[in-house]
Amino acid sequence: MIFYTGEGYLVLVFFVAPVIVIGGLLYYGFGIDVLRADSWWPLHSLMILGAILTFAIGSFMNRKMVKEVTYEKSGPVTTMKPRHTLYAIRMEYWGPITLALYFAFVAYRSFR
Amino acid sequence: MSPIEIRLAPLSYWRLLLIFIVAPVGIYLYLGYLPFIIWIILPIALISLLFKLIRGQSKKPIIILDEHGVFDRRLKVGVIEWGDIRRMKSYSLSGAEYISLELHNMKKYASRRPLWLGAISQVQRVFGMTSIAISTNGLDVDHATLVQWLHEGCGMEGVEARTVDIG
Repeated sequence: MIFYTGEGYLVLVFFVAPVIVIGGLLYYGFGIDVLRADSWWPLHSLMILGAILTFAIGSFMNRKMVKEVTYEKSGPVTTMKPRHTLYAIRMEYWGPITLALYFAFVAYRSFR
Repeated sequence: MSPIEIRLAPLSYWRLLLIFIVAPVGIYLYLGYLPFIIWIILPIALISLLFKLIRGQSKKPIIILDEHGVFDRRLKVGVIEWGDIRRMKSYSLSGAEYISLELHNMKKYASRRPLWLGAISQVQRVFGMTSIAISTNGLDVDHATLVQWLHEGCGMEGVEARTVDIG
């Protein structure tokens, strides 16, 4: 079950977009399969690019915050909240998080 | 605040037709048979629809907003006074929209509800909502307008709804 606000669900789309788009171009244009190449660096680079893309688009989309009002007994308290989140985490933060998860998975696979 | 009455939106016969005739026919044509679960759901849905059509749609307002507070007939908690509302949050649960109300004295209102309704509404807490949440589907006003009116009732104007989508 996915919990998100605004366009927060697009995090995974942005993260894998470079792998699909650039990976597809490399494969169909130059015959380079990033998933089967001798070096892991093409895939790592595309994942880093995905994280940068997620961070950049997330930061851009969250530049305008939304007001959330709490009516305390003492009077209304307004807090500013990001528009686009995934599991209550700002969209742009998912860039480094997904990258960390990816490298943790790669490290686990290589040391296993 | 001048009293505002919110009623159920008129039944869309085209939508009902789509659900009860076109959808089963489409599934049959696609799969070549009707799955067992459809055979169970369809008669139950048809009977409840006939029951609803015979009874007719209620003309009574579902939600009333006035100077005292908000009254939702479905919640069975009586009038929720404006001063008791601490926070309201919008949720979209696979297309079903709710305004979850966080109250200063939740126990006072929760104790007014029948036990069965209180137990059922606890499910909402799994999704981060409080047990008192106004369903905004099928009403004659849209979700954002109702949120706006609720904020106006609480004394704040121009607050945009931020919806938590759960899908």
